Amino acid sequence: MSSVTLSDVGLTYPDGTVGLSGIDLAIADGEFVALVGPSGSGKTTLLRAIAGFLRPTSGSIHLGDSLVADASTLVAPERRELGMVFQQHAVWPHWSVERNIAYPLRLAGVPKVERRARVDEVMALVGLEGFEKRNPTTLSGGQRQRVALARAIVGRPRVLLLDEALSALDEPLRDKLRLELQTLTRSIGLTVVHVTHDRDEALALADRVVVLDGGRIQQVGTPPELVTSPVSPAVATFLSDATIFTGRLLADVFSAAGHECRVDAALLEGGGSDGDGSIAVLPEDVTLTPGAGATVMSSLYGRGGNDVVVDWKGIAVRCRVSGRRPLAGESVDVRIARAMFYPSRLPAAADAHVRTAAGRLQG
Amino acid sequence: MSPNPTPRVAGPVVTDRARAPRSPRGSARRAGRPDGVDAVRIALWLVVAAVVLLPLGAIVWLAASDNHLPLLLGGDIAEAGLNSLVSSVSSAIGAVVVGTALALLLDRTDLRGRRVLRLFALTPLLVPPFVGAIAWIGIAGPTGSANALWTQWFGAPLWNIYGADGVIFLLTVHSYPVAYIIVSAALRRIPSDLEQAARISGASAIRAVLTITVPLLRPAILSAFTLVAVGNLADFGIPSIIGLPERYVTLSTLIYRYIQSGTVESPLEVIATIGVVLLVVAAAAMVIDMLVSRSRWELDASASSAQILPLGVARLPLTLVAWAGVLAITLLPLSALLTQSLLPAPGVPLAWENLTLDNIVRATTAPATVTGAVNSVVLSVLAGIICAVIGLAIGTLVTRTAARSNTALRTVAMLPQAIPGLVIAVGWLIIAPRIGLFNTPWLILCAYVMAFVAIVVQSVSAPLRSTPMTAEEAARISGASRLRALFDISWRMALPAAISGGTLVVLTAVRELTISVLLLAPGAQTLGVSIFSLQQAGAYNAASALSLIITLVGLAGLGLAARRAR
Amino acid sequence: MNRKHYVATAATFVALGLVLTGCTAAEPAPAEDTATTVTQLDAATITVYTSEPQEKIDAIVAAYNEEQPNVTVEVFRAGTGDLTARIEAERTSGDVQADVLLAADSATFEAYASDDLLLAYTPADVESLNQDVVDPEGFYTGTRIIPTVIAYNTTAIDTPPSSWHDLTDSEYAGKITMPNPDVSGAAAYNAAVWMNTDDLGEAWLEDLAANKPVIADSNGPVSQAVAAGTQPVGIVVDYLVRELKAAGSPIDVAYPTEGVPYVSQPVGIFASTDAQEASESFVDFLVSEAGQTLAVEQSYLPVRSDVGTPDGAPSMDDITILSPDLDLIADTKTAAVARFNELFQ
Repeated sequence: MSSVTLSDVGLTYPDGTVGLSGIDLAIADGEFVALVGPSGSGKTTLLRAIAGFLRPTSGSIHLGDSLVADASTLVAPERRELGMVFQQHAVWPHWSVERNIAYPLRLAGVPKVERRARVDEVMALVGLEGFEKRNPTTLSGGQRQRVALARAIVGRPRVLLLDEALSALDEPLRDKLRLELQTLTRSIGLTVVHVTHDRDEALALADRVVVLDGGRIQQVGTPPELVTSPVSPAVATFLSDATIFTGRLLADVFSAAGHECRVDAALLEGGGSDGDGSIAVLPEDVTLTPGAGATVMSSLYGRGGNDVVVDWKGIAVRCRVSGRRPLAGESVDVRIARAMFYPSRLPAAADAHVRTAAGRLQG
Repeated sequence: MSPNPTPRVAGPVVTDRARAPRSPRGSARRAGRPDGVDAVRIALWLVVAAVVLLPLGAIVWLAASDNHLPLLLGGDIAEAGLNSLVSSVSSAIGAVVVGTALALLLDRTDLRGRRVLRLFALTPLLVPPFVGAIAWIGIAGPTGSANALWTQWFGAPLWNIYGADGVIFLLTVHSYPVAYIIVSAALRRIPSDLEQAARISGASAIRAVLTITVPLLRPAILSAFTLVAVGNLADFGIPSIIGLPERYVTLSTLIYRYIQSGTVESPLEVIATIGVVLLVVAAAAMVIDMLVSRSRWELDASASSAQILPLGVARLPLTLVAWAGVLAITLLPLSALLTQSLLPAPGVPLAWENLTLDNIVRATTAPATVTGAVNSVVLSVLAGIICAVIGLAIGTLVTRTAARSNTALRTVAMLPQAIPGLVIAVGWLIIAPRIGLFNTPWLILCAYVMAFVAIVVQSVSAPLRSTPMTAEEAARISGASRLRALFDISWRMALPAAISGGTLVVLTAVRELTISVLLLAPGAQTLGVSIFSLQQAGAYNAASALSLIITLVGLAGLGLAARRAR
Repeated sequence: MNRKHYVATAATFVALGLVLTGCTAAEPAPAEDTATTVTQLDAATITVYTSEPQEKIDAIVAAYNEEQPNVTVEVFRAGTGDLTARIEAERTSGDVQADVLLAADSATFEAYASDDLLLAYTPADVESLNQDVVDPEGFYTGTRIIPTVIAYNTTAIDTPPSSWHDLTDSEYAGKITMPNPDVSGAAAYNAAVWMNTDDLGEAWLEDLAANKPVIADSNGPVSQAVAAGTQPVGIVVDYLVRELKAAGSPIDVAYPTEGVPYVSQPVGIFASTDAQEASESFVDFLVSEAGQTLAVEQSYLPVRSDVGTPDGAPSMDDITILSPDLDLIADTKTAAVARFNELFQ
């Protein structure tokens, strides 16, 4: 087990497109880190750079104390002692389950007896006892993913890389494997880097979550930090489906531009000085009461609260309300209990990414 | 959001220098040291250059060394060239028409007994063309059974197969299965939704097929046409057996005559010039085919299966006609071979007491036949093994690694497919004395390898291309070097495809004639040449007996291979 | 798993290939210990270029190997015209690859002899041979007498033509077939003989051409065509007719009254040979009693008088033979063939 350190890592493709830019990340030994972001944000690029399949154009990558990539060095993937599970398991169909799992040990020259023992040990860990001689093509998706997982950890890797490893599985299975993954990796103290586009999964499993967008790190923090204190409207939107209002903070009141939304400064976080800016409102912080200010557009039942989208004078507001579920077409009034304020002197890039989860671009 | 290309799952492993971004300082120490994969790549390039580029280069060089073009435009060669062109184009048109009609009938209508008819319709593929020629002489030759019957009834023979019309007919018969396969594969990819939309809009069933489906088949039809035309351009067996008795000479028989009888000075140079012309024609056909296939429409796959077109009133007559036609084309020749083999001598009437197994026994035990059979088997098995190894290596390298030279390597390996077997043989004939292989059977082996390696490359490409790159990446993460990952994973996975490709090479090589007749050497004749020589020497009964045997063996072999593949 | 099947198939093929290679290497030599008067030679390989039909040369080689089991004979069979072309090609690019030539007519051998390509060798037992076929300078020796006769289909023709002149009759227009002198050595030789026979000459050839005979490649197809009835009359070598008749074909021979030209299928050794002893023993065999008995079995007229004649063949005294001056034939052959081609092809 070891740590992973990325120092100012950048990657530009030969045709000029930027894959990664200015990545500074220190993953501690034994930490479970999730990389999230929308499609094309660079999370898989980052993972493959750590794995050694992509070469950074600038910066350096260390695994533990050893340098594995920088301008003058590139250690080949096979020498980095990593484990990786791919989205489509990549279990080899021409070998049995046992042969698949034993491959890394075979390559490392581990003697047969020890090999057998370790394979058995790891198969028990992932719950595949008795499957040694099976043909992988006869296994279900979940079983194959377990084989891939077993193969990835049998070599006692320094870091385990998961590239959307659960995305191809159906939902109940994904749920179950998620829990097993957690238990397993925590029990052997493995450093894990988990790429996923499922926000809830990232928030649930990780010690820390890295939000990527446009090849840059937007925020790194523990799940509670990310949810309660997103560092930009973009993170808030992506991670929590927050609704954004642009306007001006003046005299202890935030007034949305061209909209009737008003929020007291007391309810705002980050509301220091007056000026132009935007607020992000989390769905949990919206209350709906019967009224005439807005119309319910869609209303979905949810275990932890109903997912309601409301059209408030032209802006689509995402809400999570418990209790009675308002039906589509009802008229309601919207009250905001809490919001986060971001002044406009934030870099233009952040503002440009403002958008609601279900509606139009504002500003 | 700035547009970031998501790295494709099936993308290349980017430690390869060709894709890795260069550092501004340029000559930083490359982490991608030349590794095993590069060594294999170089080795393959050497092999391919020796086997494919060298003979082709020799032809071009020899042709360019002296200007024989004026010779081409006069007399013999011009006439032979015209005959070749006419026969290949006409037979290609015929093959495409028959193939398309069969594809439509067998795959889209409710003709009776479609599945069985499909098998029968493909049998000409299993019979080497020259064997077919020998068989058809027994039906429609001057004293063939059909003509004999016709003379009895009507006083004059029906049709003499010798000559240009016979050549075109036989070329068509032996190439329509290829056209059928190509067109029916394309037909299967056309979603029936398109036809159904036409039906809903008011078109009748037949109209829907003719106005919607058939135009969509145009690329496939054109592709089949060029493939068949180029293939038939250089066929040797049929024009020599059917055409020569009426002095109908094509380029292939002309080249054969030049080599055998030295009727021109410096025959090799003249032949090389002809070879270059054939090469150019074949290359042009390939280019046309590529351009056409690039403009293929993208058809979304349809979930529903093809709608069967009911033939209604026309069902019974069409069924009878189709069955009669296909059976005539496939069973008649076999029966003609049978009768020819069982009769002791020509002119002996076909009666029970005259039948004898003598011919068959003598033909099979004659030392010449045995030598021919042994040579054929040895050469084709060796060719199959060599092609399987080289083809697998090339296929794996070009589909699973990224390098700018991959396309070039693949093209060079596949090039001989588009080159007439004739030209291949000529190329090897030219370089033979210089590499000391003149007059040996190993020359034939080299020519076979050049001609058939493309078969294996083709058959391994499909399964290799459909596996995601993560299969190798998983191996690399597990600790395998690039070459080891390629070998352990891709190579092994494609092995079954390579073996079946190699088997196909063996089956093709064992029955071919064109290459081995030009590269003939004492003691190095193949089975095809044995049969051909018997036919040329006038031993028709013996030739028929041998032809019958190799047809039956070929049918059995391919049937077995097909069953195993299932 | 399926893989095992494929590996098994591959292994079978490889094994098959190896076994067969082994078979080719080990020629099964018949273990005969018949008392022979010939000393057994050591292992050697000779290459024979011949225009003999394949079956016949195979039988000859098999019989020869009973006497000389250590000598491997590699045979290359083609029409005489094709053989001379091949020899020509080999000469220009180096050495002639053959050791022994066994081809149709003596004129060919005369040409090679005058180019110093042949080795002089007098076979053992040369006194027992018909001296007409033995080259006085010793460069070649005839091995069979092969006359060219008129053959006809017995079902189609009631009264056969009985002379060369008969063939120019208009009733035979389109019904005659004959071999191509470019391919068949006998046909080339005959063209020269006909041109130089006073009774026939160029005039007769022109009349024959007016009947538009079909020119087949070689004697084999000619005999087949006559037997099958495609062309009911043919000019062809006699032994083919005898064989087909014996096999049951409706074909028979007519010996033209003016006389028949004949070739002697000579055998000669190339001076560039590297297996002289073996080549000489092969020549010896061909004209020995054993070799000539085999020839008679193969329906040929022999060159010795002590081995009998084939069934159905007339004795040499009963037929008229055209025996022209060999030098004249050798000189005029090329011109005769050229004229023939002009007229007929």
